[in-house]
Amino acid sequence: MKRIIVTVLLSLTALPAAALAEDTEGDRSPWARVELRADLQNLFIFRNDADFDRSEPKYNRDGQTVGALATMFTPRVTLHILDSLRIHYEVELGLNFWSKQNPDQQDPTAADIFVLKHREVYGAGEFFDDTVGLKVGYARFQDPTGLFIHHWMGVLQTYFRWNESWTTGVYVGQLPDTTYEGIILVGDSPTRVVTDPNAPPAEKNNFVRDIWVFGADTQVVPGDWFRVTASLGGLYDAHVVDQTRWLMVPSVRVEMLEDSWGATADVVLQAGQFKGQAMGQKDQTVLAWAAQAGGFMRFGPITVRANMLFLSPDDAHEKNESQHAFLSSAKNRSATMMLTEDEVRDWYDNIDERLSAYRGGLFLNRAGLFVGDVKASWKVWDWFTPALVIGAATVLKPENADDGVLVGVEADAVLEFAFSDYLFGHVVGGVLIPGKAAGRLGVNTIDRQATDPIGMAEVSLVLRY
Amino acid sequence: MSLKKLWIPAFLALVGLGPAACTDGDPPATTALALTRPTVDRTYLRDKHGRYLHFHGVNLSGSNKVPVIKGTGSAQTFTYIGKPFPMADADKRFKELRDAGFNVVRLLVMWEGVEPQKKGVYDQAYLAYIRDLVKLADKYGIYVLMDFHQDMFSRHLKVFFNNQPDDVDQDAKPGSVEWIMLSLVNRIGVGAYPETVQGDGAPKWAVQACLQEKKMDSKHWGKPRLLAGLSGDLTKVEKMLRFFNRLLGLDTGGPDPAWAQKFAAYVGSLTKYDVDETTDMMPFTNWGLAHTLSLDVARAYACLYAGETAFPKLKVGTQSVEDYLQEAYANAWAEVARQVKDMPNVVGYDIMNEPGGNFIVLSAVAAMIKFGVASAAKDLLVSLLGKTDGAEMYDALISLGVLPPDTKAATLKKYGLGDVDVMGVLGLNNGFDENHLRPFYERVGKAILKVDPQALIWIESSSNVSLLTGDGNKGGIGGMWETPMRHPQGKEFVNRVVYAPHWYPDIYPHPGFNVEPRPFTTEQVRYREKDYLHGLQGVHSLATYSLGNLPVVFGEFGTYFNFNNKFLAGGKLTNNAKANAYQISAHVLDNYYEAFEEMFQSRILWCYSPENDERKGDLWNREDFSVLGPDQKWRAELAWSRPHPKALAGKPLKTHFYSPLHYFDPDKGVVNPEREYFVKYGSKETDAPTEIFVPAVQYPKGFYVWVSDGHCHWDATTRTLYHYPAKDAPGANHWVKLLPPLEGREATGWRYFINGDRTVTGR
Repeated sequence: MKRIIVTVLLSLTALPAAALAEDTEGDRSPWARVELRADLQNLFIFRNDADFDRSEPKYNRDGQTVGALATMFTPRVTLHILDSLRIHYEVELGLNFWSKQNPDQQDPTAADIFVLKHREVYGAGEFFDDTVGLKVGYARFQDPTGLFIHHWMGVLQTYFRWNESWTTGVYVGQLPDTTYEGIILVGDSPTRVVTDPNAPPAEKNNFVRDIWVFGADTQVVPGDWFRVTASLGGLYDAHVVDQTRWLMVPSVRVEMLEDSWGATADVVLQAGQFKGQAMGQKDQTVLAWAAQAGGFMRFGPITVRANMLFLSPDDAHEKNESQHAFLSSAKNRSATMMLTEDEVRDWYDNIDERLSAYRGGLFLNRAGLFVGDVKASWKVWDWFTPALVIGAATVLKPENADDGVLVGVEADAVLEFAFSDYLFGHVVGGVLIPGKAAGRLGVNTIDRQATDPIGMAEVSLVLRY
Repeated sequence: MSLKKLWIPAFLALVGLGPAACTDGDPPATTALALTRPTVDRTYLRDKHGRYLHFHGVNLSGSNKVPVIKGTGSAQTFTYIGKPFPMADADKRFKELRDAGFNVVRLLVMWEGVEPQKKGVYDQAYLAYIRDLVKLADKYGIYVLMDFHQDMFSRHLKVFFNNQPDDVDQDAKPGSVEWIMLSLVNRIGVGAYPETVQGDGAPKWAVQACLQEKKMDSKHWGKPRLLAGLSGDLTKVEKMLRFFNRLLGLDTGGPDPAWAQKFAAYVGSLTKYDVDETTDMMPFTNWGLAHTLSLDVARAYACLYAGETAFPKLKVGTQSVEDYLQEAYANAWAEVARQVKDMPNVVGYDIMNEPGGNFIVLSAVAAMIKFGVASAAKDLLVSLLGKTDGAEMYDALISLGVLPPDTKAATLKKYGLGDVDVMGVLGLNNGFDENHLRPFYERVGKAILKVDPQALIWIESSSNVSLLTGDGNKGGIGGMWETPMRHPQGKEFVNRVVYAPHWYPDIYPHPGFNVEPRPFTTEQVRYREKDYLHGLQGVHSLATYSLGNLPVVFGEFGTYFNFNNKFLAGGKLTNNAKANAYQISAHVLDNYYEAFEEMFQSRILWCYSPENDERKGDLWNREDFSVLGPDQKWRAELAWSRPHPKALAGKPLKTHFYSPLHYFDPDKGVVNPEREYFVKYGSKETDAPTEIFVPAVQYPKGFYVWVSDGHCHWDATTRTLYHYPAKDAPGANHWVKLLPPLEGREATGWRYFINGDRTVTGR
């Protein structure tokens, strides 16, 4: 069976037979080949509102407060076929809400059945004494900065290691989109069997309306304290007829890490074309950018982290022949928990995404964005670290936010507990004082002018295996 | 320099590239697509970009019916240049119309303006003025429908009246019989009548060709012939009043004997004038009545459309009067077409406004002549209008002196009836549109197409007896002898004809004759959109019934803006309509538009008159229809200024807009979708965008946009939302929905929020 799996995987990845012959002679202790890890997270969250607008919809007399108790289980299994060849699978059972998901539910299509998400499934290997590496399947993929792409997707990644401090790789992947194309399978659906005279020929239908991500990257590590990663990436998005988008995306990350301080700088440029999206179905020339700089300093038990994020805005004329807003499906390094993604648990309600347009799996905010934040933490004991997060966000082009400027100011108090390596938790209390921009960009659903603050409390307990 | 020191400037250099990429760009270079001549495709009008056109237009304008008069007496001259507005104001006016959302204007061109003094001699200055107007409209993205306008044939068919009876008799009470009768009397001491009921359209020489016995240069021309006919005869007065009572729904009672004596004495003192020195028109400001009751108007129409049938012996030179007039009319149109044939924004030529086909009085006369007795007229009227209406109308016509007193040859000649073909006239009452109007359209249409082969010919049905008998436009009498008008015949007219009916509900407030205005209430007209729908569908039905399923654009509809206004003693005006914020007018218009939207129907509103006057309305017969008021501010804007498509990339399927005047029937817990606009259209047939006008007045705080697919662009200058649909699969319908922010109503999933020139892109 193992040989079948190995043969299938390697035939898919088209590795040279020599690589297989060399590595199949290694140590193959059966217990060393299975690696199992898991996180169990139980969560409590409460917010006094989902937006900055206290208007109550007439059909929701209970108001708009949000609160939940939820559980998430994330097992990860890695099958080490060889020391340098493995299969990895990660699944996420959750986020399941105690008040909604019903363990007795039998109907797999019911809204209250347990949520199950297959996050990663890929094969990976290193060959020729780790000179060549390859990873293929569904995986969390990011460009060097994470500001352009940071996404689960089907992707093939390879690298070539020139020496111990320098690697170069290429990658190509597909983002999921709404346009299904591919081989029509018999029995795929009652109306889509191959005998259906109206079914389009599969061989003419592949790869026409897809979103592709591709590129090459290289990483240089001159020393333990310094690392530079650069990429020349690309995006080709043809999922909308006559509105193909393509981008060339050079990006650079510079990281420095010492014991008492560290710094990271990211720069991403985007140049390309959005076809047919300007007035008169003319093409838009894209020139956009993103930048991020951050770092930390340690002063004994106190650590101060700071980060600044810029996403370029478009000009004030939508559908002209220039497009300057940054396109991404990304994750930034801000420590804020409402303005940007909450690292304790991604609730998918962070303001930076909610005020953006979402097209073809990618976010775009024509108003641009700046987020600056500082996080100060004090390691009182090994098991207890309180922290304070202060952050603020603004748009960079108020004209594109109906003249709103400030997105919001956030302050969070975070208590981090590390009872052991296998049990830790967070207690968070925070407040977000919104500005005009966020509500006007769509966070508010009724009174778009409202700027009522949001209070938040969150508790997380994680068991780690 | 160490690497540690290098990274900072390297980073800053990279970041420095960013702002360079973020300089402000220019607005989109392309705005609206150029206007093109529309083409007929089945029941649709489409532009050359492949889009389905939808017209939300306005007539330009009511005051064009009245020329600019210069000088007095024999030195008096007239011109239609400057109607609807001077060329110097044209930029401002067209911009105002565009900003209000009108994408087509029906431009009233007057035959008398084109050919004012003599057949075949054209006023080149007026033609140039018309050409310049059309050209300028194109600059503002406005289509133009050329309309040869007329009502009651000509402004030279007219009657003076006195709307200020207190100048004559201080004791007469408003609403009394005395008050009504005093409309016939000129202003004592002033020696003039302050107002006129008149027609518009044909030049004086054309009228003279029809009414050859008339002394049109008489100093009495326009004085009420009725006044001379009364001669203090109280019996006639009583009969006339009885007729008015029934016609206008009044209860005025009989005249005071003492006053009648006084009135008879006054009439007796007037300078006498003969029947051929003036017209037989009566001062009904409701000109439909004036038209129906005038033999002179009927004779003029009969000469134009059916002279060889009704008056076969009537000639102008060697030509029959019909050929003489139709030749002139067709050539005049050709002159106009020559001016605008190269202009892309000309949507067509509306050959004649509301052609008159009402020959009731003329038929009554014909019956008298045929049988030699006056009672024959009564019999005919009874057969046409029914026992009660017919008999009372006969009494009134006799009382008014409209019918000749006998059928002697000399009398008939005096009344211009010497050449009448009795059977020919009687025949006009059946199938007039098919037998006479369609051939007229064909003759004129060919003349236009010869000059402008791209032209579309717009036709209307006549205002005929069937309107009175309630049978819509199908012709015949009560549908018994249906001879409905067919599509113009001949290969020239294949895919070249548009049907442009008019429809007005019963909203005439001012009957005339100093009769008190009919009272209206807001409740009377509120929420009647479904009622209007039936009427409009009925009028529309001729297109499928007999015209061959051609495109339909309503060429006129509208409402008064002087409901419940009171003219007090001394000529003072109490403007109740304005005080009521024109609520009645607004509801009437909203009803219209909701019905039109139910039908997804193109329409052209009557009217926009920059010359609108608080007292004189649109300067013609007390009509006060202009959406632009005397203070140069819009009236009832919330009703007519509504979102609408200008052009659609796919077949129009469904649309609605709920103005604040809409009747909402709320569902529990759901906020009314006030000002919701929705348009749905078929799978896109062109890459050219759908264009939707979105008025500022409906969305002062901006609006959300939801779209089925594709993307939108907002042009704040023209307030146009361009929708570029993406899907092009068969059956893939597209839609756009707009809603303003509403208190208590959630707005989620929107694609754009637009506020002024700001566009926010949503999820």
